[in-house]
Amino acid sequence: MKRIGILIALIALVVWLGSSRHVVQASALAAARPALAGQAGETSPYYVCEGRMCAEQSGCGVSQCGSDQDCGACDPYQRDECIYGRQWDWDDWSCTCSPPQCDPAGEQECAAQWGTWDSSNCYCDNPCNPRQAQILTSWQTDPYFIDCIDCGVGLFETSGGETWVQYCQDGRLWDDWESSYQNYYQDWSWNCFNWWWCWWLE
Amino acid sequence: MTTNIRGICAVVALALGSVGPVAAGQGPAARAAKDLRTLHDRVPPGAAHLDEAVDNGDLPVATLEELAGRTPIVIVGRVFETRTRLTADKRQLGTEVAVRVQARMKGPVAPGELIYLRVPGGKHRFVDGRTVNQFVPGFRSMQAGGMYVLFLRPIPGAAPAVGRGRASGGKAPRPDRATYELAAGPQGVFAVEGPGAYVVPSAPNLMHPLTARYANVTVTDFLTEVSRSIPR
Repeated sequence: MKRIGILIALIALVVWLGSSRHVVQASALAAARPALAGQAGETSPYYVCEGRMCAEQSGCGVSQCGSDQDCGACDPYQRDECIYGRQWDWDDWSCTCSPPQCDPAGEQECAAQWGTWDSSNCYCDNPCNPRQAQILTSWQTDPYFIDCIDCGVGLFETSGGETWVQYCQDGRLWDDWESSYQNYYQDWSWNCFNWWWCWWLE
Repeated sequence: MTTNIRGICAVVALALGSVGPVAAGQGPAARAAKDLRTLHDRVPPGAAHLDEAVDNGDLPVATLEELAGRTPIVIVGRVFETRTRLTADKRQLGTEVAVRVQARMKGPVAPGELIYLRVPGGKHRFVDGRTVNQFVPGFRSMQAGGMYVLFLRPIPGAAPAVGRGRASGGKAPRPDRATYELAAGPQGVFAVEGPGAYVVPSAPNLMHPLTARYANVTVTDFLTEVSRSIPR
């Protein structure tokens, strides 16, 4: 009876061992399954988005992108077509191409008149088409004797200047400025007709 | 005797004065920057013209990423007009450039907007006929009608142009419309030229990394790289 009991215990042990090994194998397979799946998606190198750029990374990993466009970057050919083909306006932030809201000729004219263009209502603020500059005031000093430079020849200086203004066609003041000058010239001078210059230095 | 010494000194001073501006025009830009005379007075006596180099003092950049990182506004724009004017202290020239924004790559500007930027240098004719050409070495001046990729920043303290400088009763002075400037000087100017739309960098010399890298690159490739270099 005791032997039968031992035999039954042994059989139960064998059965248990057999079933637990199955469980171990099953759990091992279950554990292996995701790993196998991950390895299937990995490449070396792999690519991830950095900002709007698809950047290469060394080592193994799963790629997030195949091109910059997968990361939200704009299509360079759409951009080219917009800017240089259609001559429309491009926003690289939103990758949108839109026709000019205002007449580009009006904007060009505003720039020519140095106005401030408000593209929200296509209005040129404060344009000015300047007239020719004109002299407002001018002045000149009397010749100022500096010194002798030769027998009977003196060095003189004159200085002068002008105040200029420039108006817009509509009468507004566009600009004003001053200019000044200094001129030096030689001229006859009795002051230099003396013994030092005319006889001593001879 | 004293009179004669003074006379000789005056002549020497005049002679030196006539040499000075020529040297300033041909020498380093720093010399011109330190010169406190007005631009008009720097034209050599007896001469009608002055060529003078100016140094914008821009920090050099080596890569597009660095350039874009330092720059708050990047656009593709078409130049409508350029006008040169004397600065308020009358020592320098600045050229105001009207640019229509054709494409916004980065920053708070809208496509279609008309913006004004100031670039250093330019050509000016004084009322007495003297002429001055101030230039940043290597920088090709921007031409009306040209298309450019521009790296810009706001001019500190410059108010938005809209509503500014409105003249009333003929009393207001000419408004300075420039609210932007080049963020890194000529390094941030790339002309788009030719039927194939190639990029021509304006960096100061052919050895500059940006010039070496991007000269004659197609604008498609260049803008793609610009777009990639802008952090999001």
